Amino acid sequence: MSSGRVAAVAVATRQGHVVYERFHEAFSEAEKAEVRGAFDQVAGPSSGAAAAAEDEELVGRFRNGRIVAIPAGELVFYALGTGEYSELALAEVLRVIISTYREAFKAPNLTDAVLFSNYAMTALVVDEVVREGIVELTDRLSIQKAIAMRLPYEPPVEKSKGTLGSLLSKKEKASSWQPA
Amino acid sequence: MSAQKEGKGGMAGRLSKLMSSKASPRAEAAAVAESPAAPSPKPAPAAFGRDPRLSKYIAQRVFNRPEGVGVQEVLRALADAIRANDKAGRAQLVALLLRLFFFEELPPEAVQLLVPLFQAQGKDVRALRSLYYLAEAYVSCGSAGTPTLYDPALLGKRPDDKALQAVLGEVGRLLETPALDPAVARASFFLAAAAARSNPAARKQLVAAVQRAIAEADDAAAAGGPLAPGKSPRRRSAATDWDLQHTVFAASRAAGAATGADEVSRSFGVGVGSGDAVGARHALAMGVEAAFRDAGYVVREMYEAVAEAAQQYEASGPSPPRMPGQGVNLEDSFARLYLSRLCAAVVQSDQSATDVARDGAPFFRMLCLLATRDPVDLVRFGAIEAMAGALASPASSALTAGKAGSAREDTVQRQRRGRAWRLLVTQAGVEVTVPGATDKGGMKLIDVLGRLLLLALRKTGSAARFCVAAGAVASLAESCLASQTVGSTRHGSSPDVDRVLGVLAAELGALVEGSLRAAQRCAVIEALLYLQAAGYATNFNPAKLVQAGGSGGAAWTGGMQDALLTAVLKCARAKPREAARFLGYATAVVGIAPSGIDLVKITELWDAAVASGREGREAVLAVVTEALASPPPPSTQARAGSAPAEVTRAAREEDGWNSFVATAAWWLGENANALCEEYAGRKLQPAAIPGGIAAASAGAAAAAQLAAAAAGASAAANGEDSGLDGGLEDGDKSDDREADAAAAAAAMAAAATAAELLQQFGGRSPTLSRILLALQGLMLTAVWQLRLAAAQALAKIAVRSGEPYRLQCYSILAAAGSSGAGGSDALGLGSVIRPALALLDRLYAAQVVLDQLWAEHGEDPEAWPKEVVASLARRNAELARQAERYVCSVPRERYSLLGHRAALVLAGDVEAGDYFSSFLKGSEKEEQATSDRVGEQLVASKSREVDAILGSHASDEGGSLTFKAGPLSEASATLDDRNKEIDRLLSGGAALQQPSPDPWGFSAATTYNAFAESSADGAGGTWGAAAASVDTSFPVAAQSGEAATPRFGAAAPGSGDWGAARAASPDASAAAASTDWFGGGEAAAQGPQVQQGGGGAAKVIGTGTVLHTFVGDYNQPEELSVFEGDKVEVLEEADGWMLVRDPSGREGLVPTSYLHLDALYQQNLQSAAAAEAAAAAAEYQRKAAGTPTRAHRRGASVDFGQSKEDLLDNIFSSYQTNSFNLPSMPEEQPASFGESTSLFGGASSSSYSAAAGAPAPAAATPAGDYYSGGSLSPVARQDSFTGLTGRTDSMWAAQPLRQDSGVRPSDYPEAAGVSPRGGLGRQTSNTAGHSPSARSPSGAHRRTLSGTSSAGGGMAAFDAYGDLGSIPNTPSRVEGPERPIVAGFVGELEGELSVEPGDRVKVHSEVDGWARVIRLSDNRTGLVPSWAVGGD
Repeated sequence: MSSGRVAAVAVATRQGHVVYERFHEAFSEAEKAEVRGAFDQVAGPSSGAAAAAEDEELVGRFRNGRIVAIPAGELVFYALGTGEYSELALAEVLRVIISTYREAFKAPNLTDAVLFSNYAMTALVVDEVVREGIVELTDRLSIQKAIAMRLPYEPPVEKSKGTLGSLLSKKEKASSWQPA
Repeated sequence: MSAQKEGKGGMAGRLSKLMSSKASPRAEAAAVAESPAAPSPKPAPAAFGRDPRLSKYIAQRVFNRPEGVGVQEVLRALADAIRANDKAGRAQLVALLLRLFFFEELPPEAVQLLVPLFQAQGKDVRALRSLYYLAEAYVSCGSAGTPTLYDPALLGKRPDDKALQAVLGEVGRLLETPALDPAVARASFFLAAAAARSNPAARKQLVAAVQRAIAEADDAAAAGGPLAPGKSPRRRSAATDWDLQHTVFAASRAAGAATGADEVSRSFGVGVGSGDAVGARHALAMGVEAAFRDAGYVVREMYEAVAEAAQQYEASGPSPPRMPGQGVNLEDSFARLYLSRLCAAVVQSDQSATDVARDGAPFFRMLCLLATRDPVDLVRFGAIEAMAGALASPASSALTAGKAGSAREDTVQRQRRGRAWRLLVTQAGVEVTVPGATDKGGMKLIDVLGRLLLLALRKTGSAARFCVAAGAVASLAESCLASQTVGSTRHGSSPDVDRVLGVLAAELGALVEGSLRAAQRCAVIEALLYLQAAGYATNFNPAKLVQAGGSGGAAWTGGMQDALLTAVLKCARAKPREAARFLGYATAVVGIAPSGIDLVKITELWDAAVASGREGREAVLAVVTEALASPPPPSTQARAGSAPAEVTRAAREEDGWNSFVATAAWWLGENANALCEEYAGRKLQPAAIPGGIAAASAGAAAAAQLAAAAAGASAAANGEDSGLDGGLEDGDKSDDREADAAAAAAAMAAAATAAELLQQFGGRSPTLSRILLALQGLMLTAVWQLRLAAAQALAKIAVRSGEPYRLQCYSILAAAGSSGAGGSDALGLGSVIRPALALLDRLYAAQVVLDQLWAEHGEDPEAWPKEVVASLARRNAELARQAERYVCSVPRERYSLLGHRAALVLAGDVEAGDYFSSFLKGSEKEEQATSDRVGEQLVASKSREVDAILGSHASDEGGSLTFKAGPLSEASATLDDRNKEIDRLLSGGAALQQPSPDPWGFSAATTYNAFAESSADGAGGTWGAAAASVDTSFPVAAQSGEAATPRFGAAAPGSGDWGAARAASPDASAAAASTDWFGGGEAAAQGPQVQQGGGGAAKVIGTGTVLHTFVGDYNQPEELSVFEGDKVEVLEEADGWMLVRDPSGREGLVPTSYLHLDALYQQNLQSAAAAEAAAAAAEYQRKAAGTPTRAHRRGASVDFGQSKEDLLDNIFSSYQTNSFNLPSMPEEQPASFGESTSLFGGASSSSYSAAAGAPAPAAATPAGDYYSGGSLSPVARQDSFTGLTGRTDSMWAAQPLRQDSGVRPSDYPEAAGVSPRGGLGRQTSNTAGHSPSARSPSGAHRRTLSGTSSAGGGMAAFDAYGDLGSIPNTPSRVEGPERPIVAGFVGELEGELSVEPGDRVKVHSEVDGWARVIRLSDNRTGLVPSWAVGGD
């Protein structure tokens, strides 16, 4: 049993060009087009919401799923969620993505050019935040660690260890590398 | 991450460099193949077939290559880079992998190229991460990147098997690698989870890998020593290895492997206190699943942890636990959200261990804390929603088009909601403290919740919060509703809760009228619907919904409408009594944006309403019928001057609306019979005679002391109102004044109860009549798509209904089928109507034959010869098959196509008897039942009907009745075929059997078959023989075979069958009938047999002299044209009209005021009282017989001597008994009549003949009524009734009818019927006509009009000629001077009169340049152009 997923995340320009999109359901091409159409109706050029304020949440629905769109800079971020992913959860997801982009790219005003020039990051951030439709990491540091193929979580106990602790840890580490 | 840091130009530059350096693909592939260093399986050249290309925007913006970028280019470069295997190559590799990120669709060969790189690039985190990403995007079937363009034919939704196996193999190998880097392991697990989502085998692999990892970690912990083999340098077990937990739980969730019951899910407890907040979240999420499954287990596992967490939360807010591993880590907001859901799942479960007063207490406390104190909206409102019982169900988790879950799921969910509601009500008064609101101190829980929700609704800024808050209110109301409907005994509320919900309802009610975005408005409406259903007062109604939707405009998506429909459905189900209101909402929802509606959902909604009981049934019928007539919603109309997109959208909406209406028509056609409990062949059981009628009859009878005679009173008129009254008094010397007074009183009583009578008997299903009228209206006025749907629906109802509805449908369809000029199919419905009419014709014909058989073999079906029964059964089966083939299914358990009596007979049949026995039993049972089970039956019967359809052909009983041609080409089913059938039938069965051509694949019978055709020739004489043997008391003229050959039009459907009908009217001169009746009619009208029969039946009650020339309306064949000074015999008198016979022997109606009565034979006149009593009795009889309507015109008068169980049987039984009195037709009329009926086809032609043959038996019954009203065209009366109801149903004749409607009811001289009945007496379909909102189905009217219209030469002339031709109630008083014809005119169309200069005519009326004249030389009437008529 699973209680819902983030079915789709998309980043598009305010003119409606898709910069990046990620689907977490097995959509057919036609369904994808429907989803894009639904996104477009919420905050796309044909929605009349093109002038929506920065960071304003726009909501819509697609089938039994919820859509949230948040414009940021010259881009609009969309998410489609089902089940437990209500509007608030989707908005939270989008905000995580947006803030991560802003921080990682050091670009308060997000544009398609910014994302294109950091396209791997663009894709991998979404990948880490929404894993297969399940919300995974939500803070920038963890996300960046994960993208760098490190563990997102370092036990604080280890970090907060005193000298003795780190020594012990090093010793342990060293010993573990000895051939068994 | 050099790629990230590169500018766009750099990337593009490098790529283009790479591309430009490439040779042709073939050479490239060859190079790859030759290279021994290539680590991958060589991609074959042929494999590079699919080349998804990037969109123009990306190609231009990223790559600066407007000509586009294809994936194959990148793959070739990638293969090159791999082969290079040097530093530059590695650098290029990363850049090229990044190029692949843009492609949403990767071909399999790309993945096969990538998989080997996992090993080769193991150290390069950037390349490795990209590889994981690409592989993940590939195996999860999802897409990542930007929309790519490619040949859709190449689209494969599932990943290529080989490529998938390669990925899975690589993942498995990685995961088994000892001492795998935890981060790599994490990525590998996620990749495996991605693959596992759509691949069960991969899921198994994943589960195995998870268990292995856990075991390894545990082993490592158990070994404990620093030298222990393990992947982790730290000494941890699975219970403390939070990274591993995080990875494992997350992967299980992502793969969909967490069911709440598996081992990993049940061990969620070890992770909730994890120092890793995200890991704790995943653990809690799995705990929610487990709590759904087994709340008691979760209580045991989590009691301590939650208690501690609650304590800590209350003290210090959300934070990680003081001691990692203990309590619950609440740092993460999603984790808190899941914890609130977990708590809700626990306290709302039905396990006693979760009682909030005991073990469940910490869970409820935690839930309250999260709902009231959490700083994050996500958590707070999520907790409120959870508290309200809105826990995501599996059905809602998948992205479906609003498909509801299974019934069981639904019930489980509603029970849970009910428990949630009750819990909330009992705990509503719990004091909670909100840190921010210290001034209040402790507040009641429900108040806090209410305030939070209200705040969220009022505060702008976050649409998401608004939606969730509205959803929470909806959830509360839904839970309340659920509590009312599930386990209703325990439903309760508290004043606090009611108050809060009332406030919220008011707030939402105000909001819906404000300016909101569509999705928010949708959420509000949803909440309002639930609140309304739950019984909270709102000011919301469907009109407001329409308004709200209209302002939403294009932004309304299908999802919102689906959501609203789901809400409506739930509400309607829960509150069947208010179903009408909610169904009204449904229609309004459709109207918002019809194109986005899932029509299946609508029909489901209707079906559900039907299933909810009587109220629901009535509501749904009203709503659906209304939908047929409702105008298109505003969304289908583009504003003038709007943008093209707007116009396109409006067009789409209009199409959607039409589909909706068509669906409504279809649904009505399918379900109307079941819903109105109108089944063909169902035994009618009229209610008791209304007291008023009985009293009136008795009183009148007593007063006049003529009760016996009264029963057979010939004049069924109300003498009080009649212009003849004076004359009657003059002549009736023995009349008793007192008796008259009593009779007058009785008449009053009778009048008062006439309506009651109609209600009781005539209108046994006003609803069905309304449906018919709605469908008729649709069929005539809507666009073709809807006309077709309406015609189909009418055909279905016709086949499945008993009388009078079948006849109503028949006439409606027939009129529509010949609506154009010259009988053409102007409405374009021929493809539907023709087969339906053909089938109906056959049904009627079969009934006639059945009736003969009945007369021949007696009343006891048991005594019937077996062959006859078998033959009848085969015929019935054949008809049923045809019905199923061309119209609709007619399951034998529910419908007896040929009527009740047929079922009685067929119950004795060997093969099909069981069905009919069960039918009879079933119909009896259903009569007894209170009939509130229709809804449930509907569902069951649908499946049965499907079975019947499937089974009917398999159980072909031998194709008993084979028509020479298919039903669509009816012409060959000619009269002599029927003759032969009858002949064989009567002679006991002939051996002449011949397989007939069977275009539809029915096998021909070789057994005895009374109905089968034979090719035997020379059966000409059998017609007469048949007639003679049916009723040998009639002198039947011998006839030749040629004479028996009918002159039906080739296109006349069903002529053969109606030939059979004609065969059953044996009084007619066979020769006349078969030769001249249809062509001229005069021969028949003047045939000696007719005269003889007429003389024998209709008693002359007096003689009179014509005072003024009266020109009968040629569209009113029953009217007789007479001339000043003519001496006529008066046969009957009724309501201002007299039935007279003129010197030439023709009979017809003449207004009383046109006559001077010379002599009145008093013995034939009843006192007014007796007449009244007779009228009342007759009325009752007629109603009891099942409302004779068009049946009369078709040739049936009701035989009052019989039980009136089956109208049809009565109708046709009249052929034997009432066959003397063939009225002759006015001389002027047959021509036009014949022509006009030809529009109908042979069916009506012969029906007329049958009609003519079926007047009342002797004057002993008040058959004058039926004689004139029934057997003659009742057009005028329909019109008049239409006028009465204030609705002119005919768009063609709307104007003149409307003009007349005011006067007609009062001053229209009715030829028949006592005044209480007024127009009804001759109203063919008084059922429909009587229901106030109903319009008379005026098939005959249309027929008249169609004939007239053809005179005008087109539809444009309808109005004018409707005026001319169809105002039969204007007595044609031609008193003006003679006028000469000054110019010749050759009539071409029906109704026109050819004149020559010098002819003398009198002008009846002039409209639109056409004059209706009577030519004095031959008394013919017709239309001539005004210019042809000279001045006075």
